[in-house]
Amino acid sequence: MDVQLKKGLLEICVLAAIEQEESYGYKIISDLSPIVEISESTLYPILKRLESAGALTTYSRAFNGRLRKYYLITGEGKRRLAEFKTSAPQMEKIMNFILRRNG
Amino acid sequence: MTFTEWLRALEEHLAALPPAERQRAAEFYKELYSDEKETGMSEAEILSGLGSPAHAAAEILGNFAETGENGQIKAGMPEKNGTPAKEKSEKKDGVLFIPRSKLIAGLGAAALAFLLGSFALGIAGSVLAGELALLAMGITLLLGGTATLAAGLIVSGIFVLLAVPVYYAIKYIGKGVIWAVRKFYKNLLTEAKA
Repeated sequence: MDVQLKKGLLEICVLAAIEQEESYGYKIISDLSPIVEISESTLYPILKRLESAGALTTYSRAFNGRLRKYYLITGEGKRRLAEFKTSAPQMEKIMNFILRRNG
Repeated sequence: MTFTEWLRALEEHLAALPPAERQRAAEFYKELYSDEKETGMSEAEILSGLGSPAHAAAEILGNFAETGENGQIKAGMPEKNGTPAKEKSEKKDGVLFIPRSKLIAGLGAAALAFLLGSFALGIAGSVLAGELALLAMGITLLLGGTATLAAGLIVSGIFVLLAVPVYYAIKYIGKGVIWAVRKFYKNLLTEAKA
């Protein structure tokens, strides 16, 4: 997949992965990897970028005698996700056009 | 390669980052490693999933530069990364850069000033030469007769009197030219710096 396109989509995917409940690095990768190719080294910059943009916040909690970092979606993150969801019909049209489907 | 070695290599690749930023990345990978280990993955499996430390570092550094440019960087990160590259290059160019058209105009002005100066000097020279010649003529006429002596004296007197205004005229014209050229260059330099 095109790098720029994938970068944007992955951000939305990560937001979707933490939309219902907070999550952590390994779980986000496990949840997303059946849908989209995502590696550890790709996830870290995405999480950092989303945090800088205020789309998510983090906190650390003890787990199994060590600290685990949890990622929580913010209002801004929810707004972004909702905005993307409203563009779904348009995305579908674009895909139909590219794939020459008569949708 | 063990995970500890992988992590050390990653940190080495991230040496340019502030320590807090480097530690944050290391924590992220340590946590992932622990989680994967607990699900029963082998060290080799985990490492192949992580990819090379250089690649992981490149992903982090690329992202770091990006957030820096957008001004979204948080406290604790060095300012130099936040300065857009554009501003840096502008500073470098602004020191003594004179546009080509201005340079040609400046050279033209200098040539004009040179010509005017030579012209003024020429006038001064000929006036002086003329005076000397007439003075000599007066002396010759002095030996000839009293009527011509009077004429010679009058002419010489006129030129002596003329010498003063000519001197001042040349002096002020010269000063004016120098002032104009200097002002022109000053404008050029301030424009170039701005």
